[in-house]
Amino acid sequence: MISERTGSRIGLGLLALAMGWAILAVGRREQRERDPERIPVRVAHTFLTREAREAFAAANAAFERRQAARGRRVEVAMIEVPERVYSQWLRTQFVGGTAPEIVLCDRLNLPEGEFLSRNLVPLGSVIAEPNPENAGTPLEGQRWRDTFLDGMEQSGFSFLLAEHYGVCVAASTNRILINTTLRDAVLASPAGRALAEELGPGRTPRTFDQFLALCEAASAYPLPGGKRLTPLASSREVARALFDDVMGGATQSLLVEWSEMRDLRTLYWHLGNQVLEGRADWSHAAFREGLELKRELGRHFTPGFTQIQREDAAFQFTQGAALMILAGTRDAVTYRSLAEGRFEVGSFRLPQPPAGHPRFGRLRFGELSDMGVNALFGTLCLVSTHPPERRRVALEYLQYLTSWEGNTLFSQKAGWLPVIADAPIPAEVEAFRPVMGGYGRGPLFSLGTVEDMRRLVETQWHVLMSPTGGVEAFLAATVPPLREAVPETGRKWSRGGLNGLRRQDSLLAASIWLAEAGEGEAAAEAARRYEMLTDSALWNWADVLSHRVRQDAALAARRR
Amino acid sequence: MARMTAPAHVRLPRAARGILAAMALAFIASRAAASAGGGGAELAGAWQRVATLDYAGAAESFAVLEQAADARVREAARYGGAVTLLNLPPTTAARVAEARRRFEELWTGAEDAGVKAGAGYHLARVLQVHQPVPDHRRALQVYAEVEAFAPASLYGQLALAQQGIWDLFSERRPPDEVRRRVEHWVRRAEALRDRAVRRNFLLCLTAAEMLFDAYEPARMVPILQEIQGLGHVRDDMQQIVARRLAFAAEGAGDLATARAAWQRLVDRYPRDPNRQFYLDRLRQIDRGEPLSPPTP
Repeated sequence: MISERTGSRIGLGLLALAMGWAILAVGRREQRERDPERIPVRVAHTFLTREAREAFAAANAAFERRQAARGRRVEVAMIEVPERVYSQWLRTQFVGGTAPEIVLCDRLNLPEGEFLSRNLVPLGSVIAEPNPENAGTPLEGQRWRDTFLDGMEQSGFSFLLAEHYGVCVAASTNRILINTTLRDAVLASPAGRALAEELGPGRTPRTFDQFLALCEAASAYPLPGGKRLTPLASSREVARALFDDVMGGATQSLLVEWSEMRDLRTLYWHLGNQVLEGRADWSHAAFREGLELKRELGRHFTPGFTQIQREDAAFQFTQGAALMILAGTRDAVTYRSLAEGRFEVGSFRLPQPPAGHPRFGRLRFGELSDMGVNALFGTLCLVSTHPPERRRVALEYLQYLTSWEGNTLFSQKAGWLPVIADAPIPAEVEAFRPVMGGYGRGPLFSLGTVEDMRRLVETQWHVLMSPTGGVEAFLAATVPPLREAVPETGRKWSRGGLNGLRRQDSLLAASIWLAEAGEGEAAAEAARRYEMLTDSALWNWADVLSHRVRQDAALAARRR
Repeated sequence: MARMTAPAHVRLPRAARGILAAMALAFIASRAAASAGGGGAELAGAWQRVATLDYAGAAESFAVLEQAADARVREAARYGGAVTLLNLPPTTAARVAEARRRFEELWTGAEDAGVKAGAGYHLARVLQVHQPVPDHRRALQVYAEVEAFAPASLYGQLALAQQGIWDLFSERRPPDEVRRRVEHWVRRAEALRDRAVRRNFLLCLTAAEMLFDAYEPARMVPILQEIQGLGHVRDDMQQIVARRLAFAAEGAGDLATARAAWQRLVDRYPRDPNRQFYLDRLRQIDRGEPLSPPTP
């Protein structure tokens, strides 16, 4: 037994030790921070998974070694902030002047864009030059922006400011995850045997009809306790993503038929006018096929999926109560780790009906491309308030993280898709490899992604899925309210467009002044911004004007 | 500002080009003089704040510069302050009215040609899009005056384009009338020497025909070819122009031009989501097959 006195001494000793260690640690940190040779690069982000931490740690260590070889003592530190409080945290850091060198800003096009623009470094000029960190790799000499999957056409770009402010570090596509342990059991059951033979040793559905057959077999598979297996774990969010995919495939022909600007684009405000003018309608055969397809798929979703949250659908899959789930690359990493030790997880792309399919492919061009959807994430931006030397090293960090070598290392460790085109893809996410060829997506039934229109469609999903409902009943329930909502949706777009134009007027004046009166690089940069702004300003105004004229004329004609 | 690259068919006579160049030089020189005559760096700093949407900071800087000893700097700062007022949060009708008052004053009385043209253009913008009740008639009158005052300046060229946009897009007209007006503005656009204004205005002209049922592909091809030659800065705009040109050329029966446009899309944008569509088109043209889906 230890006496009370000895116990106290040990306690005091431990306390003194802890205090001593703390003082030493603070002292060392102070000393390190005062070290004039050391260049810190702090990165604030919200990726809190183990894999993401390991990925950043590996990339940071490699970057520090590279910098050491250049004679610089660089230390990269991560600042991890929960996503829920990140916006507020970032705002506080900017106001207090304590923002780190690099911050995550995945939402460059929200109103706080104004706030960010004052604190971030524009990257337009530097992304137009080759990334020096790609020297000696297959990407050497290519413009930095061209090395990204999307050519940085959308990613890192603020439409309000007509400027790039960030670079993305990873990409994501959606794929079906399948519990292969359950799959094998389903395929061994009486309902699945014929399909098992058809699928062969890969056991992965290669056609849409095989996918439906697998869902049918899963529906018939009894779980212990008399429960039925759900083929596709679903929530409102999962259903939206799947339905967008199938509708976008079914309406590909409308990219030509309804693109009144003849450029393979169907803009929702243009479609709205076409509807009001009687040139386009929801009863089009392409929409009907898309709806049939949704109904067919929806039969295999978790019952009541419109009321189910994303986390609940994930729980259903990871508990083995559902055979499959749709997941993006990031979620897939989490689901796999949750399933570890209990079942194996496979993945594949949802096979869509081919062009010419007798029920679902009459108006389809072919396989969907994965490009053109906002699939890049992890937008890292440089903070402008730091001294030039630090900013330069922070820029080099971004260049390294998105170089052939850096992004390969990062994505291998994170289990995410590399953002750099042609970079090797980690084996476990091979099925997520973006399809580069293929065709674009046609319009959605809601005509676009405007939330008000989407809600009108989604509140009637039950009519489409119900055994007593179907496509005709769904059209009867959705088309009148959609038609009624079109004018207000158009007016909202028009008001937004006008607000954008008002903001652009000041920016245009600034870029003209700076380009004409400025000198050297600043003037060249302003001239580039002037061109960027003019590239959209005149047409945007013409678009707003013509939209109003057409909508008013169409509504007047309807009243007559 | 961007170098002009006018194609042969819109080239002006040598004398006219000389006059325009001299006017442009005088315009830029006046701006440079305002900048260099003391307070230039401060003015640039204030404009830089506008460029980064720091309107409060810009308003403060311009207010200080309005007290400068140099009259040119004071005038330039007054103009910058008015531009800032348009977006200084919270944007109110009173602020817009104050900006309008300052622009009116500078448009009629500014010494500096650059400030005068800018104030005139922004006065028209206020009348047309910023004030709660637009006054399009007066705006169009001011645009015309700005164009007449400084035709070679960027603001003069923008003012010309704005008149065309209003003429074409503010009313639904019969297709023949739309075509007639587009032809008129194609001729007027010959005066546009700034690459960015020119290509965007021409793009608007082609859009007018498409949106108002006046589309004739053969008429569109040379205009779209010129726009492509002028080259947009934004890649997405370049792709849009190439697709419109390809379809217009198909519609006009000019399959060689259509082929070149599809090929350009394949070569330049390997990750375009419509890539397979372009490849299909190329294959069909090369084999002489009917185009499927048919040209819109």
